[in-house]
Amino acid sequence: MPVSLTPRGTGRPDYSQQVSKVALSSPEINQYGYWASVDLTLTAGEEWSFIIDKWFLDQYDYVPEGYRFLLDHVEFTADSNVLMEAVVGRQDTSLTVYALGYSWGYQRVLIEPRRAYVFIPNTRPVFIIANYGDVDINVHTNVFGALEKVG
Amino acid sequence: MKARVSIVMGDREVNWETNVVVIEKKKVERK
Repeated sequence: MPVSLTPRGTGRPDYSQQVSKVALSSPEINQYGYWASVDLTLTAGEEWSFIIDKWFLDQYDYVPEGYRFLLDHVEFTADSNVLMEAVVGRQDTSLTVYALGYSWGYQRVLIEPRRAYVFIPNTRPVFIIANYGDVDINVHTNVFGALEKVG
Repeated sequence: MKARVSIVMGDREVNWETNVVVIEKKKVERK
């Protein structure tokens, strides 16, 4: 059956009667910006795994029920030009660690997923950093993410 | 070792300091 289309005029479209709507980007109302910084001195030839104690809302070791944590990116920088390897993992309450991302770098390692790593309740991030150099290094870690209220 | 943590909830920012716990240390082979 033929479909009739309503003519919309010819020539250049006339937008004079159109009302513009502008959407301003803003954080979601249930998301809280979250970041942490850690300083540590990493021994030459060692790999350390660490967690941040009572990280969530200053009272929980793991993501609390009713929330999820979105890890945006992690950056490790050192005060010497040595080879480092970094891993971000997810640990659950059985203490099993699942690696989510690996990266190498001299003096700086960045783990930056295109989509945030998601941590559901009763899981937490674990950070692993290895120093392949011959000297101890001071490592600064910056972690950026968002805590999101769900449900 | 300490970590400094910040969270922004609505129009307020909360900062606190907490402990960093090293859960494992091991030797790596030099590259």
